[in-house]
This record gives sequence, C-alpha cells and structure tokens, in this order.
Amino acid sequence: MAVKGETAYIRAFGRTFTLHIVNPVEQAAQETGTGSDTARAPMPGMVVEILVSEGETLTKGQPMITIESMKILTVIISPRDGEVSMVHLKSGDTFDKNASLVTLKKEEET
Amino acid sequence: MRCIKSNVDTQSVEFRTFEKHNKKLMATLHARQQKVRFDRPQRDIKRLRRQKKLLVRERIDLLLDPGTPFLELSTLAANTAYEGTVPSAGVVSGIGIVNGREVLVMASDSSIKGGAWYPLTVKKMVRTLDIAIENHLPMIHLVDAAGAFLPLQSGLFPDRYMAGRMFRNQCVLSAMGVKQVALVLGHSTAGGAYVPTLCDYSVMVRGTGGVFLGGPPLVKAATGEEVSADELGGADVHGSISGTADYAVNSEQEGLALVREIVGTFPREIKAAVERRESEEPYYDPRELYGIIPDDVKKQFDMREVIARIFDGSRFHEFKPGYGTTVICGFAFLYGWKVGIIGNNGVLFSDSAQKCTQFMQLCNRDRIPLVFLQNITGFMIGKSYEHGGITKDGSKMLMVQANLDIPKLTIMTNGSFGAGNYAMCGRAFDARFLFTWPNSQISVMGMEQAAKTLTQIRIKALQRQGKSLQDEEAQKIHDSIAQDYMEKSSAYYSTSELWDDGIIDLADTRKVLGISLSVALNREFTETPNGVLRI
Repeated sequence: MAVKGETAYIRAFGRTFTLHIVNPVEQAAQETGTGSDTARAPMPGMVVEILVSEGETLTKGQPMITIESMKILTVIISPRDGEVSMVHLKSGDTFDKNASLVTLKKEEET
Repeated sequence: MRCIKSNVDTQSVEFRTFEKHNKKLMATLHARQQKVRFDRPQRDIKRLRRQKKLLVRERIDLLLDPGTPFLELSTLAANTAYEGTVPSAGVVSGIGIVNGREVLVMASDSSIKGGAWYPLTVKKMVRTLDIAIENHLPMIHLVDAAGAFLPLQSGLFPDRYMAGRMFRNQCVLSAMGVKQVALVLGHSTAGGAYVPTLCDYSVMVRGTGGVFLGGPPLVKAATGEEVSADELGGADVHGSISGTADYAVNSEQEGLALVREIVGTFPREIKAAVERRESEEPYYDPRELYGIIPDDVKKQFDMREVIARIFDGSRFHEFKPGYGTTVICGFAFLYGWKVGIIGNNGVLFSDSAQKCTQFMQLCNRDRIPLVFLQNITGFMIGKSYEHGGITKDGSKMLMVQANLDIPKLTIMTNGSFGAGNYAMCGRAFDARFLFTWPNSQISVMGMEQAAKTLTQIRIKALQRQGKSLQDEEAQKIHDSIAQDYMEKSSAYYSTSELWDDGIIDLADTRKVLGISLSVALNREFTETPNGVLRI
C-alpha cells in the first residue's frame, strides 16, 4: 500500500485499487460558510490600496483591498464569487475593527 | 490527521517574484557560509601543513561517521564583528554522529589567529556547552587554541557568562553524567589547559599537543628555567608522568580514530518518551517556501502554508481554529514525533494570547514538545485593547511559556518585534534551539517607527542648540539612522551576536528541526509548577 496525500493506492488480489480519503470534518467545512456579503476589518488600520471597483465581478479568493495595521500589510480577499455592490472606504482612510470594507451583492441578486 | 489544503498558486506572478527574491537570499547565504568555512589565506594553510596539522573541517570529517548529517551551529557568528576577520568566531560547533551516538563537537580553528579566543568566540563556546547541558549531549573538544586574544581580554574574561563559564559548564556536565572527550591538537595554555583536563577522557597528539598553565616563554620570564614545550607538557609527559592526559598518540588521524573508539564505549542515548509514529515526508515540496515568504517583511502570509512544507505528510490538526485567529495552534508530526505548533498569522490580540496559553498548558500536560514559528509584529495596542486587558493576557502567555520544561524550538521566519519576540519564545526564553531565516528582521520596534522617533529626537536636540534644519538635512539624518537600524535588525547581525543558533535555508527547516528535536529528547522532562496567572 502507498499513500500520497489523501489518496491511497492498494495492490491486492492482483489488482491496484485507488482510494480517495474523504474527511467528514473537512467536507462539512466546505459545504457550510460560502462567505458573508461584507468583508470586515480584522483590526483597526489604514487603507493602502483599493483593488476592486463597484460593479466588478469577483471570484472567490480574489484580492479586494490592502490594509496596513501594526506594521503588517494584509490583503483582504473576496469570501466568495459575486459582484461588488459597495466599497466603503478609499485609499488613506483609517478604520476601526469590524468596519465594513467591501460589500458584495446578495447571492440571490447575482 | 488531515492534510493541509494549500491555497498557493505556484504559477502566479507573485509566487515567481517571491521565489526569485528568496532564491537570491539563499545564494547569498550559501556564499557567505562557504567563505567562512573554507576561505583562508594560503600562508595560514601552509603554516598548518608545515606543523603536520589538518584543517578543522578535515578533522571533523574524519571524526564523524561517514555519510551522516552534521548540523553546524552559528556558522556565521562574528560575521559583522572584528571587520569580519574572525570567521565563525574562530570555532566550529555542531551536532553530528560518532560511532552511532549523537555528539556535540566543538573545534577550535587554528587557521584563524592561532585559534585565539575573541569575546564572541567565548560566547559561542559557552552557548555550545549550554546546549550540551540542556540536551545531555556528549561533547567532543578538538583543542587547538592559542588562548585569549589579549587586546580584547576585558571583553571575554571575568563576567558571569565569559570564559570562566566554560569551565564551570564542563564541571556541571560531568556531574550530570554527560561525557566529554578532548583531543589536544595544539598548545593549550593557561585557562585553556583546563578544557582537556576537565574532560573524562583526554587524548594528546605527540609533537603538536601541549598542555601547560604557563608556556615555555612565560616560564623563562618568571623563573629563568629553560624548557622545551614537549618537556614541559607534551603528550608523553602528561600521558606517562603527570597523568593530566589519558592517552598519547602519534598523529591527528590516530587521535581521531581513538576518540571514535572511546565514544563507541558510551551507552546509546535514551530518548524521552513522546508519542511517535512512522515518519512521512511533507506532501507539499519544502522548496515552495521560496515562493510563499514575501519579498517585504510587512507583507502577510499564511503560516499554515509554512507548516504544510515542514511537517510529516503536511498533516495538521488545528486547535481552536475559529478563536483568536491571528495565531495558529495545533498538532503535527515531525519525523514521526508528535509536536505542538504555535505560529503567528498576524498581531497578537487578547484572545490569541489566551489561546496560546491554553494550548501550551495542554502540550505541557501531554508531554508534547513545542515548535514556535515566529512572525510577530507585537501585541495589539490602543485604548480598547488596553481596556480589554491585552497586557494582562500577554503576561499569561509569557508566564506559562517561560515555565515549560517540555522542549521548545523556535524558528524566526520573517519578523520578530517587541514583546511578541518574548511571548513566542525568543532567545531569552530558553528555546533548546533557535534558528533564523535569512529574510528575518528582529528589533524592539519596526525600522520605520524607530527611525522616525529617533530622527525627531535628534532634530529637537539640534533645534535646542539653536540650529535650524533644512528638510534635506532632516532626511539625511533619517536615512543614516534607518540604515544603521536596518543593519542591526538583520538576520546576519543577529547571528553574528549569537542571538540564534544559526541562519538556515528555508528548505532545510524540516531537517534542522528534526535533528534539534532528536537531541532535545535526550533529556527527560517533567511537568513543571506554573507561575501565578493574572486572570
């Protein structure tokens, strides 16, 4: 038997079987949490760069906005596929924790 | 245990940019290591050859089991000191295998100023002996040192952690039952004479080896007695007359073979019992780290991507994943040994500090060694955070971390600033080993903030003297401060001052941690009483 990542290759009875390991915890994590509509600030800081504009269609994981706080540049990425409904701040603005950064159109609207 | 799913796109422009940047850093690192290891003036090599001496690297090669790994420590010690004239601080130290046993080698490099001790040489030797004490590692001393470098003697002689500490540490090691073997390959004079004499086994090479409290010139000056080095304290004198040494041999090769034989009589190390299973290589290629670590210390990266490229099978069980998300805690396996990992994914908040505290207590109770992956700009500051008790929560993390007896290993992956350095097991907190990546920066505050503050102070001082400054001059002051600050917060300065045990290539992190953990388990550890937590 050989295992590479989540795939197991088993040689038995003169044949080779390929098994994909499905982890129920991981599967549950993927099925829920498609992402909320609004990306919020994880901590207080300042906007360095806005990378999207209103009306733009995004794919999940696409960079939306770069913020700087406590000497760290953080890129806020899109939580899901969708269209930008509102960018709440502009470059150079400061904000508090949990401030709205970018809102996507509700999923049923897109 | 689940395999981490990487979100890194190895084809992206960003990945390629970072990869190019980091590969350049690695090339610089390897070039600098190569230079301090092998680049010596021809006349020094010729002198040693005339004396029938081997170079220090040749000695180590003959000593260690062929084909086994040698984890050299602090290769670039003293690289920014003494105008770079004392490579590796004049002494080679590292962990290797002799006759199947893990040993710590400490070897003077007599091609550099006759192996003389500089302040940083002594600091490195004391640290090496501390490693032996902390990890119960048998020591092999290859002695060939001229003694203290006299012009700098005040910086290496009398203080608590200076030269005397080496001999004190040797005595402590002996009482602990950790064995020491010395091979005397040159003159070992004054204080240096105690190094082989305090070992359990001392071997001397005829002709070149010498051990005496005062060498021939000093004897002549003090008493008028004329005596050759060999008559005074050569291998046969100490092997047959004084009993100061235990064996006399005819050549360095014979001496090294005898040391191997002596080590072969030692019992094999017994590892502390921690959970173990079969080892597995990481699923993701460790070399992908080059494309993950950004080209700017301020740019954020996900520490899970780093974990996936160091630990067995890229498998990781994350603890409390939804709470205090700026720090990652969890379990993984390293060459089959179970470890707890604490890695930074941003600033430390109250909740992240509390999560770490809880996780460390869990690891302590369950005998799980800890690996700290530092990338920390500090604890969050500001009114609402102070009101929320950020200082109090940080103190809990320090209190628990400092009092752990389980082995702790620390890697400086990117940034290490302020109190975050302490909380994440910086040098002062007794990590068994601490290694630095070449891209790392370390300082009490960030470079930009510090340069701005210092510039303001300097300008105000000048204004008080009635001097007014043009913007251009102010900028010049700022730039020179920033330049100095930048140099002193670099990985190379850090390793030069022995704030770590060496700079390592990102892709070697798994192997380095593996050897470190293996030797850390040579000492049994216990659950320790804890300090009082401010709840």
